[in-house]
Amino acid sequence: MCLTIAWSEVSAQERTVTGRVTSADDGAALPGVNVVIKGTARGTVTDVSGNYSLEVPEAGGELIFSFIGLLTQEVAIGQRTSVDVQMRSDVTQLGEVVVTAVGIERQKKALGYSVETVSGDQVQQVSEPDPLRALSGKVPGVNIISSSGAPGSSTRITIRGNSSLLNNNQPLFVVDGIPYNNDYVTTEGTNTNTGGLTSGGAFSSRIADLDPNDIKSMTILKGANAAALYGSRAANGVIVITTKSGSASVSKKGLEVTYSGTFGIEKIANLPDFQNVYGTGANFAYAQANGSWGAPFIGKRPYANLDSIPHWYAGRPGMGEFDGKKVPYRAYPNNVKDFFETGKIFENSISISGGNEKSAMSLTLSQLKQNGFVPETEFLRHNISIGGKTNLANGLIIGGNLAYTRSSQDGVLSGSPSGTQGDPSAFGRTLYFGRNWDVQGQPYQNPVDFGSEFMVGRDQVNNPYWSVENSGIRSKVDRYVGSINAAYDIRDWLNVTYRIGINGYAQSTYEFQRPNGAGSPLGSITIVDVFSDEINSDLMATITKDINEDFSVRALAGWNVNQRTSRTRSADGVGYVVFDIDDITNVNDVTPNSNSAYTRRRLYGVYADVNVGFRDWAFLTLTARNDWTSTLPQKNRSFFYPAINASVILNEALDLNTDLINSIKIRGGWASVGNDTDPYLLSTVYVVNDYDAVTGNASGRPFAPAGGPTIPTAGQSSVLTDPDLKPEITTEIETGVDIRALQDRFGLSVTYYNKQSKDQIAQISLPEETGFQSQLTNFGTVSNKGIEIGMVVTPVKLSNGLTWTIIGSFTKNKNEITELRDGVDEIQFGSGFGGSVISVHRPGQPYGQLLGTVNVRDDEGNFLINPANGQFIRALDQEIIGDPNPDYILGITNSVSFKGFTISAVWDLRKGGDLFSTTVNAILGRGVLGYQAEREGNAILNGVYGNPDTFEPYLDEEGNKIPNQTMIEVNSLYFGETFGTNAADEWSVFDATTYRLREASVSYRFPKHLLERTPFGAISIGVTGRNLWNYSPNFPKDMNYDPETNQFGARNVQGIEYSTTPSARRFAVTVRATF
Amino acid sequence: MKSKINRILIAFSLCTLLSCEKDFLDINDDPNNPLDVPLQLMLPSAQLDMVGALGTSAGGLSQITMTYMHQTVQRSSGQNDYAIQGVDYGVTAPWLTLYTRSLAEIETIIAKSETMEAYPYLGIAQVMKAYAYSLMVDVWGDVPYTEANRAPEIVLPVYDQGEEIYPKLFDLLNAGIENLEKESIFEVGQEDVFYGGDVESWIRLANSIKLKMYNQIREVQDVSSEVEALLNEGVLISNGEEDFELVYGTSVGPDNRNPGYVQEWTPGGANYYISPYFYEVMQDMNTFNHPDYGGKIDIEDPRVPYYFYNQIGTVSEADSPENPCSYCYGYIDPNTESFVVKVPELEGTGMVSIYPFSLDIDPTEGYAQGASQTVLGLYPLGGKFDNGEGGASSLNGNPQVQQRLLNYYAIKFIEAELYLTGVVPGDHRLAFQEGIRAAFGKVNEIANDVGAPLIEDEAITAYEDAVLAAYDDADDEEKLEHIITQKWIASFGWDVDAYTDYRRTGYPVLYDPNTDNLNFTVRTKEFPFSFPWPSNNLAVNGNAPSQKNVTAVEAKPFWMN
Repeated sequence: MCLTIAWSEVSAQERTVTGRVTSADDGAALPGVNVVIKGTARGTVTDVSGNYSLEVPEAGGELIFSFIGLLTQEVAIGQRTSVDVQMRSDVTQLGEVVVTAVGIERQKKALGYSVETVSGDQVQQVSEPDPLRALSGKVPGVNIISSSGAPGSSTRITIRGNSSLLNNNQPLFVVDGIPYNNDYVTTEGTNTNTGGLTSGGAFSSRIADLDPNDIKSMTILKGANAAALYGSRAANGVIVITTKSGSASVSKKGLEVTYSGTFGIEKIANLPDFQNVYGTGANFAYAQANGSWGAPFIGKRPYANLDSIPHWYAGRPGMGEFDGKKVPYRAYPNNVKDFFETGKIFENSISISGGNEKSAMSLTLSQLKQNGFVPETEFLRHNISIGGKTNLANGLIIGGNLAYTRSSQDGVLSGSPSGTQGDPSAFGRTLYFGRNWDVQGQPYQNPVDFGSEFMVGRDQVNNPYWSVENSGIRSKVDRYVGSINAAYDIRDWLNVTYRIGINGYAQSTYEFQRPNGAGSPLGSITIVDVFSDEINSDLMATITKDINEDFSVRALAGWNVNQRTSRTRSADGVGYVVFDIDDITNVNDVTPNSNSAYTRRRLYGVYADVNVGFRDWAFLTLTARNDWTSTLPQKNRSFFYPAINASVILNEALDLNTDLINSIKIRGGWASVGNDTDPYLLSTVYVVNDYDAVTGNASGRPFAPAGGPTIPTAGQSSVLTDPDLKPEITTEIETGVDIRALQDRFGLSVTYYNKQSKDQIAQISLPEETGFQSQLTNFGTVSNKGIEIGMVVTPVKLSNGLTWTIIGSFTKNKNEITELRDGVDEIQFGSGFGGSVISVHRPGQPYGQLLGTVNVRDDEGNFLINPANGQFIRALDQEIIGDPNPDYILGITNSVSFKGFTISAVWDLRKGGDLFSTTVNAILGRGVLGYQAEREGNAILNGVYGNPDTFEPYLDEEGNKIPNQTMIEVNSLYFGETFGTNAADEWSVFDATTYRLREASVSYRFPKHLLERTPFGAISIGVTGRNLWNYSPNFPKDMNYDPETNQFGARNVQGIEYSTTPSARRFAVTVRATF
Repeated sequence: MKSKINRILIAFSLCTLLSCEKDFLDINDDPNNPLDVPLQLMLPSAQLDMVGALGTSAGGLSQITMTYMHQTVQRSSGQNDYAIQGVDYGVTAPWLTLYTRSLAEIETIIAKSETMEAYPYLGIAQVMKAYAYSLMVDVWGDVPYTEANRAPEIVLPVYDQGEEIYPKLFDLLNAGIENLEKESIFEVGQEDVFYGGDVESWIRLANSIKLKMYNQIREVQDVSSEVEALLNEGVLISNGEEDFELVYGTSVGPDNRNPGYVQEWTPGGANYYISPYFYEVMQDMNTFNHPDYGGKIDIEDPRVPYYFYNQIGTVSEADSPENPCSYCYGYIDPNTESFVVKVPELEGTGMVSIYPFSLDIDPTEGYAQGASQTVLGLYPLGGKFDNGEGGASSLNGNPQVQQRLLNYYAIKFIEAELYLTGVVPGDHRLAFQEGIRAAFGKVNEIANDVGAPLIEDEAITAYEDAVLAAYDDADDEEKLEHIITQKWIASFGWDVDAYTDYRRTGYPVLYDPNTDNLNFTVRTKEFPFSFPWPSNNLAVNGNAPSQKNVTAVEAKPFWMN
């Protein structure tokens, strides 16, 4: 619409009207306002001072003043020669103009689907380096899970549920019209499902390269209806981000400089309440062990008599000073807490924008430095973005932008990093240190071999202080984005736009463990270098025409070409030469690994979008796209998918405008989106010198037996391919209503959707006896149905400026795997330790259920108890033990503003969704939790005696089941076939329902009159707290657990946690000033 | 001006449109991986994968069976108590590696080499296939055979009964021998990691596999004539040089080391303890009233320092374990700082282990002994010869030591069994004696390879004499027990066949914790007759049977009475 500025070719020139357009809010001049004579195409735009001059017909006539975000006004000219206008902001959202697919700007009321827009301010206010996390709890239909509190760690976002069985489920990111690759690169590669288990860190996903300071707005296209024009990758929704530099627009002032600075601190959000009564050992006797089940400390129990113990390092090679030395046997209540530091965030950003009515430019410079609360963790990001736009004298509008980001991440090993033995992680024992461990008071490094020394055997687990210093992950990313665009009005109703851009990055990542630690006695390093780029071009023709008084047409036809290329080089190095040089050149043996690959894919598509409006209250949109892809077989490479949607502004249609109801819009639509697949999936291949793809039990390749030659090998891929792959299709029905009432003090938006993803291209598990683990083919259907509710209420709005606003957001998605393939009861995916919890799809059940070991129950649900030991009996097969999908997500934002002050708080509730937590399991098993101080007694497990071989209950002489009467010590409740260590997986699954105060802030905007004599246009200062409080009622008492964590980062496997980095709590002060 | 721009736009559109010619999308050939590779590359892959799936490491069948056969004890594992599940890694990984890697590659080699008339490859692949399947039947009972490895035509293979698979394996072995004897312009070379392409060795192996299989089914089928033919022709593994085994390498990256060694000899990494029962059988001890089995002889076995490695040497109090220990001489109690004696008979041995069947019951079982426990030594997986001086097991062993599969000593013990049980006439005592000799020969061969001291002839003779004296005193049933017990001891490090022998013959007599004098060893489950099938495959194969109860009669392999 804004591109349709008419160039006057008026022949008859009767008289001239001039005038000035100003803002009703602050009286400032408004440049760039469209001024059009109603019923004609004749018009102009206001200049930088808000002035315009227009030749109008002799008598009468009306002028239409319009500008994005402001209420359009129609003013009768009459006999005047000067028409001044004050324009107001458009507060009714229905009048808003939103950016939809491929950059189309549409009035919100003309859309038959729901769209959410988040302003850059909202993203920048919250002192959250990751722009996605700032959305948590604020956008209906969106589910955001951060992987951990480690700086730079990835965030998983899904919109309207998971629809792809095994492939990417995250939305497409489009930044300034060019897709923005959000790959998640770990040292185990980039696969959506495998990996994440043994790669040891909280890796980032690539959206972390985006500078929140440069974001002007984020538009979330949630459904297929909204996103269909983007084609293949839009099935999971699209997040359209407009940056300041990418959308340089004519500024109100000639030059505006905005500075924003943040200083923040962060701390670990929660720690368990520990018991400080018993030290390490077992059965109330001290031993140098992991579990705090040993002797009580002096004074804690009447019989306690142990006051000193041999030093933990006594007898260790190189640690002679400790031989024969004794240390006090006492509690170190803060040994866990003291490990964590106070993290810091510094962020500085300057944005400069300026221009005149013809040209504009924008520049953003930012830097971010975040040191996490875990020692030696850091995330750095520097960004420079520049963009400009100019209207050439010949009518051509040319624009372009460039952005360069360098980000780097230093992380520690967490989770279950790979190691031939022992646990090198910084969190191997950290959250459940033995209560008598003087971790802070003792050295952590062996002076002779520089290896780790710890309270338990040095080969079991690394001292966390050693781990953070001598192992970790490092990642450096250079990201570049550039695009140019040109627009031209061929006719006043026909505009042609071309845009081409490249978005790429070079990422260099490595994971290292220096020698003589647990996990890698020889020292090891894995490097992954990724070079990825995407080139995208769109040529679009837009028609904007009012056919007559009643009908208007907005139509668009486009042609898109896309190419994605990626090169990965990865290698494993073993055997450090020099202790502290972390480079692949500093090792004895280097082996390339199977992550190395080159891929390129191409796609082109044609698309069209036609929107017909009737009397400005009824709208119908038809869209269609046809794609041709390189990744499908020739015969199936072309695919077509249409969509239709409509909206009606009911109050206008029925002339129901009252003070009570301001507007009612009903909308609905049907859409389909086709999708291709990844490259090179049509033929089964051999892999040269590979062995680790299936299991790690066979010898490495090439093979060189002792004294023999080096023998190269090639093994067959375990994936059977399908030469007849066809595109997968997602269809979605969406309907909803938007209501605004009580003079816009009440707003409600309700959307229902039903999305079916059929014929998915994914790897279906084959029985391994077929010779393959899986077949990549079309199969299965996933259904996502849900309701999204957004609500805005302003209970208080006083004339003195006091305003209280409540924004509510509710998301409920019901996901179901409706079908797999005949004869296939389930698909397992992800990676688990042998026999441990794994994700599974089963028909009739929600996405990614957790499959794990369970105990045997009888037909009445009683646990069977093994009479030999009074413990449970392990069942033969795994069962579903949890569902990681939340029942619903509720977010409530309260904000009160008064005289420049704004106080706001975001609460959210995630109801349901299970988490398998080894951290909780270990804390229980190690006996460190507060309530476990009560342990001097016996317990009897509820259940009936049963046969451990036949799994049948034993019956007494009368044929009745026999209740368990075998006592076990409290200590044993947490060992063996019970609840803790060595127990069945089902005991480590918890309902992750969480109430959370996600953010609270106070900000103050200096009043304009105070700034009049200063160079500042605006100054605001704000204090923000993030993740201030959470309550997860279904976790054990004293655990204070925050379940918002995920081992597998941005992958599809959800609801599994292996000692990941806990979450952070953050406080920050932000100052923003405009010059 | 306007028309000029229009022209530029049109021209530009055409140019870019033209780039969409057909070639633009024809870029989907994988540039990273080949679609086809020569037989020379496939054969070693199939061989290495097969050994990985069978051998003594986390993903190999020999690991769990070694615990079942009471040679090792696993800390914190239900497998000490005969628990086994279809999700256990030791069950799922071998199946996966065999079917999707080794057998998949073998089938491809068979198909390709048939077309190419590359008979040596064909013969080798057939022998390997028969060998792998014979062990799979022994371990799992019924497995997919006729419909296996035939995707995409068959995606839900049926499970064939072991009884019906065995005869097909004999046919396959015969076909393999035929092909190995054929003239061919193709010659297998060094890529054959077992025999370097020597077809004679493969023929001997094929016959030896047949002999072993006939012996296993001797109680359910009359195999006299077949066995007689094999023994008369004598084309069998006839010395230790001809053994079927894989010698590993020393490279760390790529990791060519014996995977069992990597697992057990990483500093503090040992997953396995030595079973006190196995240790006491070899040391002529009986500290916990384990069964005084008929195969017992009154002599300490000279192979002990080759089998087990004591990290704390032979010293006792001064060098006690890092933590309270369970099966050991004793430890210093950190609470009282006094020395607590646990098993007095172990004084001076440096032996540190735990009992089976004591998981979460034995209060001194649960402590880390990474730096002091006795670990698997040189012979089973390439550790170190124990010279009694101690020292940590920290990747300082002999990573190249071979994974044994089918050895000359086993052939001799099989012969002895066949003669003794009257399947064919022959001198069972001589065969038994040769078996013992060969077993010691293997230990000495490995010791010689790594420069460790050899077992002296006198020691071997003394041991042999003691065993033969007991053997001569025994009745036929006890003689069989002697043979199988010696075979069991020799097998340490390759336990799949020992598991089979036990289920066939009931020997060696295994330790039952419920009759010992230890109140912290409790067996709650029965001995598993076979392995459960991997659960993940049952779920995706509509033609698969439902999971079995491994202690039920139905779980018995067909050759088991």
